[in-house]
Amino acid sequence: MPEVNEPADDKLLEDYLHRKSALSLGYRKVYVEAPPPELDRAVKARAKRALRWLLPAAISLAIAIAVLIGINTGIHKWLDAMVDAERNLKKLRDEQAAEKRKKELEGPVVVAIDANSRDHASTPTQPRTRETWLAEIEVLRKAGRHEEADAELRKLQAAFPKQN
Amino acid sequence: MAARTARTFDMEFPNAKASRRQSDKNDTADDAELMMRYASGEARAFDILYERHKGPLYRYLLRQVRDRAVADDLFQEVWRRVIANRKRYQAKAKFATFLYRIAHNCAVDEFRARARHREERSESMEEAGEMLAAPDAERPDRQVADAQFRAAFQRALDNLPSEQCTVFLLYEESGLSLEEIGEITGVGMETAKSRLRYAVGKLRKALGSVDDFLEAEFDQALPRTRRVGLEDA
Repeated sequence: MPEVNEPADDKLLEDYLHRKSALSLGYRKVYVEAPPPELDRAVKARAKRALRWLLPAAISLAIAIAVLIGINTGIHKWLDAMVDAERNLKKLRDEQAAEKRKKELEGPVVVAIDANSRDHASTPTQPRTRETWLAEIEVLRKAGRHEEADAELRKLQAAFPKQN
Repeated sequence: MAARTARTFDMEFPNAKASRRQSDKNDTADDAELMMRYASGEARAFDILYERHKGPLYRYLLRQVRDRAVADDLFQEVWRRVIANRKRYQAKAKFATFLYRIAHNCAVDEFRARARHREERSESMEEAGEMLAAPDAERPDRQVADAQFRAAFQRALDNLPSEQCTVFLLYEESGLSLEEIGEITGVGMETAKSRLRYAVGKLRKALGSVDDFLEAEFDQALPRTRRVGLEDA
């Protein structure tokens, strides 16, 4: 009689490996248990729960990215607006400065237009410089208003005594 | 005609066709594909995978630990780890290898956690004989024969060295090759084969009545089949 711990011979093992042996058939005949339904439910519920937090996490990530993009875009827009405002302010200042220069240069012409007015000299809108005053006198002389030109010259000499 | 009917049905109910296609796809999808689909968020893929493997895995754990409550806990633990590691699973690895490696590690942890004595094993073996009643046994004598055979099988499994028992159970339940079983248990294919050879030899010797049992089983089945055939005629 062979020992109990004798290994299976090749034929027996080959049959077994091809799942054709009585041992396999017997095993599968008597062992047919399955997990109880409550285990099935618990495992499947766990599997679903694991996915459930995956979805909110994905949504949260998407929201975070959207907020970041929004903030980034907002910052860029704000910066652009600041640059525009700065540019507009500079443009306005330049225009004002140009306007001022233009007014200064156009001053004699204004006087020339107003040269027909009698009280042009008595109501100066801006303080006169020596040069503009001389230019006004020149305009009066060209207009043939010599008396007025002489009067203005005297005023000029009184205002700027040392330079005359 | 049938094909034409199916086509007409599909034209009238396109959603049913899509649903059937999805169902066919699920039926034929391999485990790795299902696991990848689950990892990407498809809960249904997990359900299919679970249904395929739950029985063999449960039996493997139950035979290993020989205690239903412990097997239930381990079963849940194995699936918990599968779920937790779903992102790490790579399709190039066979899903069954992945699953049974986890199961094997859980069983080893369990063995290490509790020091089992011979007496306890005898008690649990008797309990196992009681709890493993065949669900569909029709006749009392068959129930007795089944219970006796189960008890004898369990006794023979209990008497196997644990590494031989593990290889035998993995081969029976997982459907894996000897090479893959060797990979799971941390040995080469030849060692796994040697362990299986010894396990089969010992079980065959211990279950000398297995042929008688199966013959009796088939004798029971045959007249039933003939009866059905005659009734149909």
